[in-house]
Amino acid sequence: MKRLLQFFQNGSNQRAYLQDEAYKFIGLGTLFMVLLGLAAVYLSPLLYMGSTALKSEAQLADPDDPLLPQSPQTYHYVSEETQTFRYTYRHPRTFEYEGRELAVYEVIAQGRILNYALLEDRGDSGVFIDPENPDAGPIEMANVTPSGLKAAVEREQLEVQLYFVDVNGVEQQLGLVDEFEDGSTLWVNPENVGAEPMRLPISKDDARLVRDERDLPLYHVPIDGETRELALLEAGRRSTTFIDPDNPDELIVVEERARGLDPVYKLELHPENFKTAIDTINYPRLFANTLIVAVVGGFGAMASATLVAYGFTRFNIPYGNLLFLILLSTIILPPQVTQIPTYIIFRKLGWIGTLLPLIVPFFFSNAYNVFLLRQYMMGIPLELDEAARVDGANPLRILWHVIIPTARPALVAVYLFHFLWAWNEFQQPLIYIGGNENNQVLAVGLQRFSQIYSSQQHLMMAAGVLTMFVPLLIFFLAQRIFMQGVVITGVEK
Amino acid sequence: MTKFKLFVPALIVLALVAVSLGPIAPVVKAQDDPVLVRIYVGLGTGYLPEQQAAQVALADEWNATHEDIKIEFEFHDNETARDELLTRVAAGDPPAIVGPAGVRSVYETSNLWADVSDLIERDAAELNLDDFDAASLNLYELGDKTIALPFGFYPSFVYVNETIFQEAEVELPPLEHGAWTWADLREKAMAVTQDSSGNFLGEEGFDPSAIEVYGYFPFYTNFRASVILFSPEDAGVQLNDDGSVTATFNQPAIQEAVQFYHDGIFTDTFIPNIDAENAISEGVTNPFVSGRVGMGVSHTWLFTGMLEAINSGAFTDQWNVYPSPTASNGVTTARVHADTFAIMDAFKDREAAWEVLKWLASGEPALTLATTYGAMPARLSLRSDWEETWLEAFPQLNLDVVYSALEYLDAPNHEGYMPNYARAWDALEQYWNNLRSNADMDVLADLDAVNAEVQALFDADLAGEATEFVPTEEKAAE
Amino acid sequence: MTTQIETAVTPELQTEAGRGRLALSPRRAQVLWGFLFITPWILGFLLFIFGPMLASLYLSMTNYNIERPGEMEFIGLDHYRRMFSVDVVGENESGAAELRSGYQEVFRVGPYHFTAQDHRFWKSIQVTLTFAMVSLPVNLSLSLLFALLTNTRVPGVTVFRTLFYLPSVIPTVVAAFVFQQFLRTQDGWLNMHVLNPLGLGNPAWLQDPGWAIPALTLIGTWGIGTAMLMFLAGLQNVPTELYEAARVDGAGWLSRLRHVTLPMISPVILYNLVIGLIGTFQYFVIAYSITIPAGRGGNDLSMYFYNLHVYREAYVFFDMGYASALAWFLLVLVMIITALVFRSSNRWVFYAAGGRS
Repeated sequence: MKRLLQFFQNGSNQRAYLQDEAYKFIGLGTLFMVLLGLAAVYLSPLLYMGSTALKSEAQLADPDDPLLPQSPQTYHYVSEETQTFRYTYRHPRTFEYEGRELAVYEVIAQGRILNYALLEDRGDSGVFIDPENPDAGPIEMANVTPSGLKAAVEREQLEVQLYFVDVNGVEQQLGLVDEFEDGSTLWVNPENVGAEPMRLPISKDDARLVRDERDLPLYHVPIDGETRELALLEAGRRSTTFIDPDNPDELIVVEERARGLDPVYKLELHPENFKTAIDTINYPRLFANTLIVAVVGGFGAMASATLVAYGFTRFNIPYGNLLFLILLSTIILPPQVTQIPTYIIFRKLGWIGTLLPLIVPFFFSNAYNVFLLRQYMMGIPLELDEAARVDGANPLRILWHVIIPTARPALVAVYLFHFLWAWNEFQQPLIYIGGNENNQVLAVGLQRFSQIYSSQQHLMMAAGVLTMFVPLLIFFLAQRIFMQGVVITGVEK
Repeated sequence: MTKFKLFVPALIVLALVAVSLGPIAPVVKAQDDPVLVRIYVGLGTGYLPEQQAAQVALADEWNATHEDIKIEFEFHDNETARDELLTRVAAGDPPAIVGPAGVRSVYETSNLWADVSDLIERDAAELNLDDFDAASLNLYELGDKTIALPFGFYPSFVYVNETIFQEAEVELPPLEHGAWTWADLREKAMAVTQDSSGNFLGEEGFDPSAIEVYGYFPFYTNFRASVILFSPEDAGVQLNDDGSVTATFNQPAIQEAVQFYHDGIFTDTFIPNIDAENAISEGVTNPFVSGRVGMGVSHTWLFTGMLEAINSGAFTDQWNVYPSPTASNGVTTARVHADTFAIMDAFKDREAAWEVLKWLASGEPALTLATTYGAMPARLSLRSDWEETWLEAFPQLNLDVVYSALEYLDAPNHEGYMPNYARAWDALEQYWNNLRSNADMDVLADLDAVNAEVQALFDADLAGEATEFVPTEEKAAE
Repeated sequence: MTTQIETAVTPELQTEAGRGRLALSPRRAQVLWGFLFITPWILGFLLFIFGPMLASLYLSMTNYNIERPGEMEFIGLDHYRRMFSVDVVGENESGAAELRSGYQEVFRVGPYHFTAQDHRFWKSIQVTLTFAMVSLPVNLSLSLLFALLTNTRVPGVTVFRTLFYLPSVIPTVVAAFVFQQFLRTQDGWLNMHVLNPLGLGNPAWLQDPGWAIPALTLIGTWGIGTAMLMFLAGLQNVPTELYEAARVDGAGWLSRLRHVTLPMISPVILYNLVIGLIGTFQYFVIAYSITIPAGRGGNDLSMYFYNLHVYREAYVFFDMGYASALAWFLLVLVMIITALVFRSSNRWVFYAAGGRS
């Protein structure tokens, strides 16, 4: 009976316990979901950043640019049409004057280019005719050396047909400029249109026409209640012409405008954006410089702030409160107040263009860090000091054996905060490093990059990810020391 | 605890290693160095990575043959170049030469530049002044000072995306200056404007909040550059015989201009607002190659970006340049920009800097720089070489339009002199930005207000109070 | 190192001893030690802060202009007088304000127009204070909320902490860049994928002057990671016995938060409040880079922060003298506000050590 009672009692206890656990579980579960939601909303701009960093340039240029890195698909099309290109044919200008064909030259006089026809070359002077106004008669110009003049050109725009032409056994793509009665032809090389066109002793029938080849964008096209993936050949106001990649010979004309259609996208990551970004901003150099500034400066900031905060919290310095207030007010000092004079000091020291102005001042402690450590040290019970003092320890010993171990998490925090601050600081390196690219740091390098590549969002975002990667890693690693330190600190005991 | 004790020494070691590795030793300079003429690039174009190599090569070329004067190009990002330059001047460490700098930079910081008029006179024969385009010579005269030699021009025209015109079945603009007006441009621009569902402006279902193709894109927008296209008299700044200056930014031509832009953005919706401009620029080297812009007025400097986009396959549309339209007062204006190099007044060795400047303005180096920057060289003898470069890149280019634009340049220039330049420019910009983002703005009333504000800035400057403030009360008491 | 300092101090102690044992007050030794410890700061202060400050105080009383260094003159307090030249004017019959020449309107209340000679100065103070009043409470409560939520035993809590901290390590320039795209009116992610589908409209975050402060506050929440960590450290410092005691007394979650947690972390709140306040007055990079075009303070000067005004006077208009005066006024203003916060902190900040320096 007693055992039975006990059993039931146990059972109800167990039930209560289980219920408690369930509530706890549900509570934590809800909290987890809340946190997940919060994080998603809070970090959505980061998703934008990450996604954009992996996009292709072509996708960014698309106004209907989808969320994820996807690329518009194309179809390589070889048409029946032949290929032409527009060519400006320039030939020497001539002018007919009194039955003679005169060459026209560019004569520069008094800040103007005059196109004059040369009538007579006299060595160091010349007689010219103005083709615009030949009735004015010959114009004599001294100080003009006709042999040094540039020929004026006549420009003629031609639509030139492209052919594969065999030139001395090498097949080239050339444009046909002119045909002559003797059967020879005049050709221009589209790769080198500045050169004189060349005359070849072949007829155009000996050459093969170049077909038009293009990458056409693919679209989802609804036809008769069915959506097909077609390549856009020509967009028009009334209709659009498509090609079916499976059946390229047939043109499909749709009474629909191209801009209203959805392009065909395929998931496509572009991790090479990161490499481009690294190469463009000289990442290793910037990285090394930033690391030096952050590591060395962080040490200086931590060490000096410890000493100063200790001095302020544990010693009755005359006017200590006033001094501390002065220290504090340096936090609120607008940088502009000291900028120009400080710059002059660093210049006198020969430090401009080096990393020193970004490091040395932090060995003289900084108000933020002192404030933080002071707040923390004031939380350390004085009894701990007293105990050590009774044991005969001097202030340095107390600092080393009592304060520093107790304030450990705060010290790490100071180091950490300085590191992160130095990593991201922009204005100081901008001014002090100046144009010395060898000593440039990441934040400024990145800003320069962002100015020049502002339309290349994908590169911009890739560079941003690269810059924040290190502080993030360091935070991730240091977080343990930081949090652990907070938990096992002496304050709690 | 042990972990922490390890942490501190580890930090110290790391710090020491970093210090010994780091390139942080101050640069030591020898006393008997040759004169170093530093050329500060960044106030205009020239600082872009792909432009730097050509300039460094020029410096090497000079340095190989000169012992007493060495030159060095330094590149600064355009956004911060001015601040850095001024900090340097304030700290007494000015560069020798600054450039390429536009007319605006020159006027805005007019007191920073050294007068070279005596040197130009002295070396006139060597410089061959006849060879400089006549239109360019007076651009850098500040009062009785001449601060630079002309270097290059950037004439402007209407860039037209012919593929978009073809798609919308709209006729292309005429090829002669004076043959079409801003009203014609508006009509064509509206006809090619299309939303993302394919509806053209004016058709049923057209959605003005989802426009994909804009008929007109305001490239390089600032107030003075935008309104000059409507051919105002005196470019809004009227210099009077008695030495006073009148702000005429509310004259009819400018009223017409601001109304055109505001209506174009908010009523006729063929011009993008600031936000949409940003969206169009995404993922492209310049907005024109986005394929979402029908027309836009821009300068020769766009050639460089176009070439890049075409070579990379990002831009496959047909395009060309067409003349600037004529304003309703019958005057056609093809806005022009001009770049130069100027010597800093604070630099000690003016003669050395002048030697370098002369060299930069002479044949070979001038052509190299002009090609690098996309400028039409001010030296006439270099024009045909320049022409060849671009014809090679764009065989279809309407070169006649490019050259005939030179007959319609804006004189006085839209970046020309105003008293109290920086503050007056800034007040106008404030107006311009409101105009492009505020649909409910009273455009003409605000134009009167900003004109009055600018007039007050002019008067203050000419009264000698540009920077030093004299309290009103005290002045009254005196 | 320890021995060195000891020998340095010994003679002093001996002199004290020579005068008589009573004079060897530990107080004097204390003072000496104290000064020794704060020496790094005193040196740094004189060299990098106090000296340059004096120099720029002098500049603020000159008409120093970088463009015309040769014309520098001492002009006394003229710059400060210019800042405070204000005038309240009424309207004429046609309803227009009767502005004095050289004065411009800052804001109006009914028929009264507040005008000033440097209207941008007053406008920038207005913008900065508004932003402080909106953004600081939001940031403080959000960072405390994040800290409270991640100070639990939720699975993956370390990951969450990292996630919430993550935006803080992003360089400000990059953050400005990300948000400039993220907040675009038509195709920004926020409007296109969140607000528009929910039927909440298309706010022109960065264009409409009315949305400027909300937009910047939103961006500002990305910088609360450090504050959150400070709170977290503070929370973990609260002795668990206190919670146990409160639980025994029957206090609920909210009551425990109010009577145990908040007082115990009040030093951290104070710290975060002061730092946040100062940060607002030095707010620059975002205000400078997020507007299009950059550095002009947005439409209708809706993002025209005080520091932007200082910057523009110095580096756009080269008026270093006036800029120095503006910087000095800012310094005084922030000092006053900080002093007020500290004074009030006597009432609400609780230190475990019981002592206040």
